[in-house]
Amino acid sequence: MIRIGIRFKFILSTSLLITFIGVASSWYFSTQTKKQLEEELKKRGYSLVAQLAQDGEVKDSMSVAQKVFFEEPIRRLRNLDIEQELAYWRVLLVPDDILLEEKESWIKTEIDNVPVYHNIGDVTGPVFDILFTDSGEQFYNFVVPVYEKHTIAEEEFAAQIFGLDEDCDESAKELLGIVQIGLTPERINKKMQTVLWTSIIPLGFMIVLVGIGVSYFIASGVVRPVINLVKITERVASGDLEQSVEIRSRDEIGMLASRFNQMTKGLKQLMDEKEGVMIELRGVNEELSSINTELVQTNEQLKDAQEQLVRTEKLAAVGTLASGVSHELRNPLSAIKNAVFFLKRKLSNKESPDIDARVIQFLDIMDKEIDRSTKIINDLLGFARVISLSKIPSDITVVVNEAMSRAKMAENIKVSKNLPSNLPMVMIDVNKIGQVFINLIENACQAMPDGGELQISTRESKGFIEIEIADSGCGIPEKTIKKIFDPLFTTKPKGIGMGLAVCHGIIEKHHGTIDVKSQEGIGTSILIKLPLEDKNARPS
Amino acid sequence: MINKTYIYFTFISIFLILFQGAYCVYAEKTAVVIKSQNLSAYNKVMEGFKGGCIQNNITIKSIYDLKGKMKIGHRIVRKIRKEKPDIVLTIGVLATTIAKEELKDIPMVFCMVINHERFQLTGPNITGITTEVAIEEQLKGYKTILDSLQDLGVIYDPSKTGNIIESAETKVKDIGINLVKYEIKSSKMVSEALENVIGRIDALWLLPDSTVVTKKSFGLIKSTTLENNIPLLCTSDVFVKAGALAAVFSDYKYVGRQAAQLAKEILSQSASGSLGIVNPDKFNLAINSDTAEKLGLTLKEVRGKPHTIIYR
Repeated sequence: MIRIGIRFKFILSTSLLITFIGVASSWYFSTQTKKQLEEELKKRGYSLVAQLAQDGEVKDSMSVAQKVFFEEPIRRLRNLDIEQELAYWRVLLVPDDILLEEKESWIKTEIDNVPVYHNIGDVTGPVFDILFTDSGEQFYNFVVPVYEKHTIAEEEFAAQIFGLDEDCDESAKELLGIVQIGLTPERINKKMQTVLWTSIIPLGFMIVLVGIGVSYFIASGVVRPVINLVKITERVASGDLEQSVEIRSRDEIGMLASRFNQMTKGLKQLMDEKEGVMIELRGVNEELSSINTELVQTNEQLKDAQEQLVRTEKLAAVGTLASGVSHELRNPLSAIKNAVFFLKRKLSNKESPDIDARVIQFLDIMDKEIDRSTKIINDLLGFARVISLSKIPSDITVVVNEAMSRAKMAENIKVSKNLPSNLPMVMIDVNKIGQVFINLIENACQAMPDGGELQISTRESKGFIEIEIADSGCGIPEKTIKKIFDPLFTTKPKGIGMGLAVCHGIIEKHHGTIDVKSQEGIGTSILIKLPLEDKNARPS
Repeated sequence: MINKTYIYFTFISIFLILFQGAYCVYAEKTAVVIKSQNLSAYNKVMEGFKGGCIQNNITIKSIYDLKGKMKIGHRIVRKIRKEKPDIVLTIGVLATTIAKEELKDIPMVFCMVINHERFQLTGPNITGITTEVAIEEQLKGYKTILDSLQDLGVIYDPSKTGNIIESAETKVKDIGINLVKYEIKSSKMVSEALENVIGRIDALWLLPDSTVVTKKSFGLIKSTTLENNIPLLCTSDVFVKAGALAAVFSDYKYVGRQAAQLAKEILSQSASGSLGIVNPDKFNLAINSDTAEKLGLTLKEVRGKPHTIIYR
């Protein structure tokens, strides 16, 4: 949208006003000039017609109704017409007889087309009107009555010398007829055209141009401080309250600038006060924030401690239970194992058609389940005996490779390794850590029953050796991810939920950490951090 | 015996017859007045004439106004001839010239004819009173307010007032005044004449010359003389009222009385004849006090004097 400025509006409105004034002035001036020229023409017309009417010879000629005597009066009339405006002349006698009618040769209109005055008896004084002929010519028509010569010249002179009698009635005169003359306004029209093109129109243009120029300067004078004020207002709006407007005048603009400066000053004071309050509030907020952080940390610590306590108690209970139960079950299972072994050997040495094939099959099942039960018991015992470690400086890469070689991995699993050889030695219990790696690798493989990619990498970071085992398996649901390290928690149908709990316990005993990141359908990544510095090592 | 009654009756009858006869002889003298037009000055003359006729036992049979018209004038005068008055008084040039043509056998007295010499008003039956006051009397009157008058300017058309100038020249010299003349032949020359004489004169004498005095020129003459501090002297109080300084002019009413006296003298003669053309017996000095004040003149000496009229 086009923005129309106050300067444009002012100049436009002022220019329109001045143009109107210029046009009106030109119109008025031209009208007055024409009026003046017309008045002058009328004066000349009255003078000429009066000269003709007062001419003694004209009166005498009209008295005797002889037009031959008009030659001299008309010659005098034409001589008096210095401006060459006389167009026609006509003499009418009472009642309505035309005694003489003539026109100048250069007038197009025929004299017959110039209207004749009727009822001349009614003409009592000079008459003026403007005539338009059929040919389009315009004439200023003058008519005056001619009365019979009042007295002889000598008596007129006597009247002048002795003075007229007070009760002398001059109106008691006999009307002889009228004289009519016409003047053409061509000369005043030409003069008017000249005045119009040499004075009025240039003057009008000058008024308009000067008006526009003056309005431009006035508008600039008014708008410039306003624009300056706007610019400073924008700066103030953008936060620079140090700005102030220079006061150059004592008019309304000057008052506005003064008030603006007062407002800016007041605003700056308020902003300073607000800034002080904000600083105080910010300090208080920071204090509250730090207190809150501390509270959160404390709360988390408490929560962790509580969880740790619960876990510890749980592990202790599980350990105690596992230790007692495992010890009591191991011997009977060994006896069963031996009995199954004896039966299988006896049956396999004798080829008897009476022996059902299904007996051998059941004995194999029993043997496998005994092994599985033994393993569970060993796990429980391992969990219970995890407390003691035998750490030695070890190369983690070797440990990882060893674990990978021992772990059971399906053939459709693609393994990617990133195991740098220059990692520092780390103090670990090689068997326990190896057991952790095997456990985790097998878990990862089990999460990819249809195949996938297993990535194993090691690195050093901030005083720790980091080992990351990631798979592209089915992932772990978010709600169960926190429970996977709890003892007896399992998602596998044949698991007892002790594997990851044992791993967690081993890593904690090494003062390391084990974290899980998993997304369902994408995979799971387990990151183990083992400290390079052994916290249990005694200083030498 | 003669009865006394008869004697008384006879005496009374004789007395009455004589009285009637004397009355009839005396009352037979009749006059007709013809005035050229209805002017105030003419009316004053007529008024004076009426008074004079009463004193001189002349009966005014009728008074005619020609209204300035030649045709009417002739018709009227022909009618008067039929009336056969004993004497005719003509007032103004129109009445006088027509009467002169038409009434050659009736004695007439004319008056109020400006510069009568131009019209050759002479004849056995023509008696007249000049309109203009004698030049010596005029100058005497002007001298009462202009002591130091030396050079008197005059503009004139020789065809109209040349005769006045001719007779004035010698009379003026006798009084010790130098006449500065300037001839003109048309009214348009008035301006030029004024420029020419105005620096050489103490006062301007305005004659009743129709070439010099027109409605337009009088304004120019008056303003020019006033601007140059030159007194303007005229022959009619009309100009004094209009702003000229002074005028010596005949007492119009007395002109009428003088005409009646002349008529009586003519009628009392055994054979009516001309008494010639006489000057007016009485005249007035008219002064415009405002103009005098502008010119720095004091009017103490003339104030209150008889036959002096002061206009403002």
